[in-house]
Amino acid sequence: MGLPITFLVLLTLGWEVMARRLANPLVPDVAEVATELVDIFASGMFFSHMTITLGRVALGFLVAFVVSLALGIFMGRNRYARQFFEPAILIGLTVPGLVWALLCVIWFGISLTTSTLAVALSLSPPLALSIAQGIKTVNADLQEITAVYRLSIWSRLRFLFLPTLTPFLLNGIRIGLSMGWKVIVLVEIFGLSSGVGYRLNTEYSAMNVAGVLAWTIGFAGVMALLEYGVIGGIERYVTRWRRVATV
Amino acid sequence: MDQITNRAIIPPIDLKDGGLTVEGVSKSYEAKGDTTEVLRDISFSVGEGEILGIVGRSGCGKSTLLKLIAGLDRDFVGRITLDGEEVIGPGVERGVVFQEPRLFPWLTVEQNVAISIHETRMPSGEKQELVASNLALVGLAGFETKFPHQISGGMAQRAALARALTSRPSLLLLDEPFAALDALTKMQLQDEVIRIWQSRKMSIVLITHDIDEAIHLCDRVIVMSPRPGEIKSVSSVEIARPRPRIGAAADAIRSRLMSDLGLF
Repeated sequence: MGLPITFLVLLTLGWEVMARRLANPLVPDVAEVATELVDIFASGMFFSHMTITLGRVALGFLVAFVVSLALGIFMGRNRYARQFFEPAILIGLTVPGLVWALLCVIWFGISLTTSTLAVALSLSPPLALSIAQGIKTVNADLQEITAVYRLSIWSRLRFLFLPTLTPFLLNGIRIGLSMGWKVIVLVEIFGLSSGVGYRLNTEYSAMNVAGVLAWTIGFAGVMALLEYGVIGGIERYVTRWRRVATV
Repeated sequence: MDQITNRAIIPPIDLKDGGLTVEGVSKSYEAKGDTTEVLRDISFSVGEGEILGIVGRSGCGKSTLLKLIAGLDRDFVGRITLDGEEVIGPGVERGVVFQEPRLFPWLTVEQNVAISIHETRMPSGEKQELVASNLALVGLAGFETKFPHQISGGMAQRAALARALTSRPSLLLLDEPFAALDALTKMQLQDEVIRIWQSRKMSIVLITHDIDEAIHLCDRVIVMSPRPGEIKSVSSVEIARPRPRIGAAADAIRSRLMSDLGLF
């Protein structure tokens, strides 16, 4: 706990030194950024826009999760499906999130479809790939057990496939979400009139650098909390059955 | 040869009231144009409440045969029926215990046991009772909420047995269930199986390479010879239970089975 805090303190100090030496209105000092930060939190603005952005990511994530799970399992279990969809995954992995954001705004305008689709499109490829690889690690012995007791496809998913996939899913979710955040902010900058990205754009237009920094810091804080707090917590819970080596 | 033929004549079991019949079962694998015959013309029956042992060296196809009976492999010639109905896939009326416990590592002991009746329509309270009573039956009361890595190999195998018993099977298929356990745990579990069988009276097919295990547990023992897997002999074990592990009767059967296995 001590070292990360030391780093953050040093970063703030370094910034302050730089701001004072430059004395440029485009490089606000720590006090200015802090005032702005307090402002957006106190006015409730940060909370309302952050909620909107999170909601959009969640929706896109949900779509991506369902699609990638089906696609990943299909690809992992069927050689032809894998060969057929491989180019799609490859294209999906290489196309920058910026392009998805632009195309979705152009085609679907200011709508929920734009944000959902843009997030889903950038999240699905790494998630599906991760799932397809995870499926290959499903234990054949346990698969026989699910056959012996005639488990339904849903029970097999619940008792065998999902638990096997958990580490792969969490990994895919981590990579996917970090891409999702970037895409949603871009979509909001380009074409939406709410959300963190929209606020960033507004502050940018007003040349309010302290505002841009304040929003960025707030946004990054929430993301860090989600990744390390929520996803880390889920990970600890769903892997509690693991034996931990004592050496 | 005469000797073997004589022994193969066993009074036919009355099948009107159920049991397992295997008729003319053959199986071969094909790989790169080569055909490997694994089982050739296997026929036998297991009466209701009978314990049948199948012994043979590794590679004689005994585990393959068990897979066919379990319904895990439908690619074979011949007919397998249980209680008059043809086996065309797995079913909860056939419980299976493999050499490995095959428990789901992310489920607790009781959740693992409940797997076998997960698809059975039954009030959940009844299911819980069934799971609890079967766990108690195998001596695992108090370990319900443990994960598989927290219990010993013998206990894991007990859990696997409880899972197979919970669906109240009329036929229990045991595929070298104690082969990976230490000698003491093995003997203990063998006696537990007998105790459970006496209270439930289901039929049991026991695949094993352990002659002593077959003699201790089974009513009849089939010896299989390898490549292709064929029935070499069928012997009755007429020793009253509880069976002593040593004694003249057991010795006589042991030497017979050993000669059938080509050991001397």
